[in-house]
Amino acid sequence: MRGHLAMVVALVAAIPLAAGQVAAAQAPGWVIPTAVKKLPNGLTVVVSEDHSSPTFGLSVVYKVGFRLEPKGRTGFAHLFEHMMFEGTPDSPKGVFNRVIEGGGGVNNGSTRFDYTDYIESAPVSALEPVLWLEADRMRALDLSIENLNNQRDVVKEEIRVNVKNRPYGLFFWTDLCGLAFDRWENAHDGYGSFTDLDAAKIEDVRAFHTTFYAPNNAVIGIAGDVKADDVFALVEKLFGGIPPQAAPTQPQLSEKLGEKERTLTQSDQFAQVPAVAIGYRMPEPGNPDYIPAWVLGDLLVSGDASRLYQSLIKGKELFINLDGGLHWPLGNAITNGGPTMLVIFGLYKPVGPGAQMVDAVQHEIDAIAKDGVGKAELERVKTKMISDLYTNLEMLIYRADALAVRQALTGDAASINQVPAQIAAVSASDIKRVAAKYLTVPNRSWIDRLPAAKAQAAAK
Amino acid sequence: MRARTFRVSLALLAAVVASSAAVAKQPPVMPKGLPAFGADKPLPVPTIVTETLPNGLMVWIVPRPGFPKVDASLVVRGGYAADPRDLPGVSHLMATALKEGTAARTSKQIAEQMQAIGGTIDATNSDDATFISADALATDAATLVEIVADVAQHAAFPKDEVDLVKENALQELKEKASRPEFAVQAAFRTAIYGDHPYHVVAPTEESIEKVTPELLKAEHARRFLPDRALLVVAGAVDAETLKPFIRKVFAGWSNAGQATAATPPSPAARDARTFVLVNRTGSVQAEIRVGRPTMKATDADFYPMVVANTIFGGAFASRLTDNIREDKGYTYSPGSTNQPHEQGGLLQVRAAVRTDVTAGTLLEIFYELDRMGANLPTDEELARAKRYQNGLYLLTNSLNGAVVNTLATNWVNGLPPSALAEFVPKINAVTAEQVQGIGRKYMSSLTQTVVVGGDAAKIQPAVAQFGTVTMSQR
Repeated sequence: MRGHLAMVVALVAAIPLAAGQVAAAQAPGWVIPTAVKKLPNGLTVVVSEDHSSPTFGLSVVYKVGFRLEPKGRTGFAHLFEHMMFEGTPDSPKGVFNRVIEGGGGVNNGSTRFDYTDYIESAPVSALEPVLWLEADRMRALDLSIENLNNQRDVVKEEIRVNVKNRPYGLFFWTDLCGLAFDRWENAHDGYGSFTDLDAAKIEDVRAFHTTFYAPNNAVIGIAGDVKADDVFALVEKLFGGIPPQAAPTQPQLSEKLGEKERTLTQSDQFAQVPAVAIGYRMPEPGNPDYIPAWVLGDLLVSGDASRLYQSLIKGKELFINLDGGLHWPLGNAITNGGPTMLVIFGLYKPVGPGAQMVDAVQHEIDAIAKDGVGKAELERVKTKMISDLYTNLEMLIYRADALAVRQALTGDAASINQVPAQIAAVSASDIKRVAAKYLTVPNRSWIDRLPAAKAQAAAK
Repeated sequence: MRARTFRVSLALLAAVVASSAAVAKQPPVMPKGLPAFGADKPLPVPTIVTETLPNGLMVWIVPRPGFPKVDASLVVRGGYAADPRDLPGVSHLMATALKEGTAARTSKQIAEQMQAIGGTIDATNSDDATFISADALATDAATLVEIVADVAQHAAFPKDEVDLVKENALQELKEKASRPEFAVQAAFRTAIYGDHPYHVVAPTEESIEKVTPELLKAEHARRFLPDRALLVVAGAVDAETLKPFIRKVFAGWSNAGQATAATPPSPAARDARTFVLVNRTGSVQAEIRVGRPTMKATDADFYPMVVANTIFGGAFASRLTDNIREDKGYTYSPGSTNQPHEQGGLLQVRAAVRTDVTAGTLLEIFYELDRMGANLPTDEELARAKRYQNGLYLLTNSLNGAVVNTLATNWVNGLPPSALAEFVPKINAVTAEQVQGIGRKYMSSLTQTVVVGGDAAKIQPAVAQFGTVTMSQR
């Protein structure tokens, strides 16, 4: 144990800055060191040193997610993600996990709206083989029909587990996007239809890898007990020879604010308790209303002290639980690169129709749009958000991922250190303005999801 | 855990749980260019500052400078297994209502004060214990400990809050019951434990309805006794500064009250394989559970079991996942765990598979279970499983919340604080013969209890080919 840290005073230990190309924000509080280097083939590498544990976190982020998958191939970005674990010409299927777990590590992958990430964490003794494996699958995949068919089956089981065999079936993500958005890129089901999954061919996999899995379309983030210059040299050695490709074309993604409310009632075969999901279309990152919208979302629905928890779970006792926020559920405000929603999702008591629940939520929002919020309440929410941001960065695997995602989405990984100050700068008048401008009835889409028996009765 | 759209932060570290006969016979050839692992760095051993207060409360503090947050957990003995027989699951209601007000604070004040220090507070229970877990910015460690102390000692169980907890618990029970895994888990515990209190997995509708503030106060009084409690704190705090403060806020806590009765020893495994079906009409998958009672965390077989389970199905590159996911594509996220309890342990193999491969999956699970006792693991499997567990230890214990949770759970299971540092050496000492011994003693398919949930009309014939099937009454 180092130092004499008093518990009631600031306990933030300084983290040594990485040598070389370092940018660290001067904001008070916890600062994450970053060093960034771009290789001649376009691959960008972000390193954040932390010598508190002899381990590392690694994330390889490719700038392709649901929004860019080919039309007629819903779910393809995610199916492709699975194919990345099925072996390469040099490393047969099975090598990948044996090396990582044999190195004492864990790994995962996930597909989001704007990117797909591949993450690993292990003792530092495994860094070089793990990076070698990432370079190996960035270079080429084992494109056999057996692998594709096997993973098509696995993905279908994943969809059965999470959607088809489960009450609510993620309707607050897939169906709500389908209702609220106009562009196919934003609206379609990112898990995909079984028809589209069945239609996927080896040629699709090859073309997708060539186009989107090129070094110039990727960012590598590494956080942990490493030296930035050593990592840059290692990445250069392992990835430097992978050729860049033409940059993928970027489709138009923007959405207009809604002019007329959209609603839908669904019947759920398994649910016993009704649920409602409400989405308001929101501005994209970079808009001055974006960070205030994030704070507003947390103020409304994050935790036991939130407005909706206190007024509608307590108070009017209408809901059993509530969740949501900006760019919920597949990320948060800082993992989004396009049009999104502020979502409010909850299970409610069978004391009235879904419309009554939506009205109750709107009533709380309208009060904010009219009367604003108190200083103490806003300060508490912002403190909690900054603390949550730190929590999300505690694990090296997620710190590496957050830095790589930040670099991929904004071109500036170090700007993650400015996020606490951006949250802190949101004023009560920002909250009031954003609530009045965006959280309106015409800009609202909602789905009432009813247990099958109730849905039948309602239809009569 | 892998390749899925949702991510749960710590779940990754508890990463799931191996390959067809064909794959197992021929492990993949390692590529020529693959660099070797580097030398391992020395294992960091956490400093744990311990103290016992005059009233018996044990305090374990793990100072970890750097990351600017702090986690704390106050754990007391007594969970589901301590619930009165006519109130199964009341622990859950007691825990839920704990933070809904104290003598000095309303529910809303607790929520707002926690939010103001960037934190959360939650109370949960396991089979054997109840936990108040909280986190905050490290600068507010004192406030955090004070609120935890207040909730632990002075929970008031106000009537209106208890009524709301009951009402929401009834709705939550309905919601849980609609998930495919819930009824299967309940039926699995009942099939394994029968009447033993470890069969309880949730409150029943009847017990929720019977609850009153007085009942919850009585259950609280039986559990929250300082000589049956441990406070663990980890984060950017100074132990010597924190200790006097902890002494002060817990000084008034007394041991007046009758403690919960001891939990009887876990029943032994059944002599014969048993099969139970749980009907869920319209289900497109079969939820499979296979398992049996095993051993306590203090048993000499425990660490060999950790290694054996890792090889069997406790890691992604394990025999079970290789076989039923990577080779056959039956399932998305299969796995196995060996969960220690205060009075026993539970081996549990799980898989959610499409309905038409139910029999095929059971066949492969039985095959992989029996293979554990039939043969020695390969040198490569054994080394990989040990390195995996050692790495998980390092990764897990780099997190404040995980250290707190590990230490608290170890205490519940009868392990001292030193168990944390002994984990890696004990894993490294496990031999191939011990792993095979574990396979023979605990993993024979003939001693397992099998529960399958799904559309009974479709899965009944598939399961019945292996033995006599009874229908769950749940």
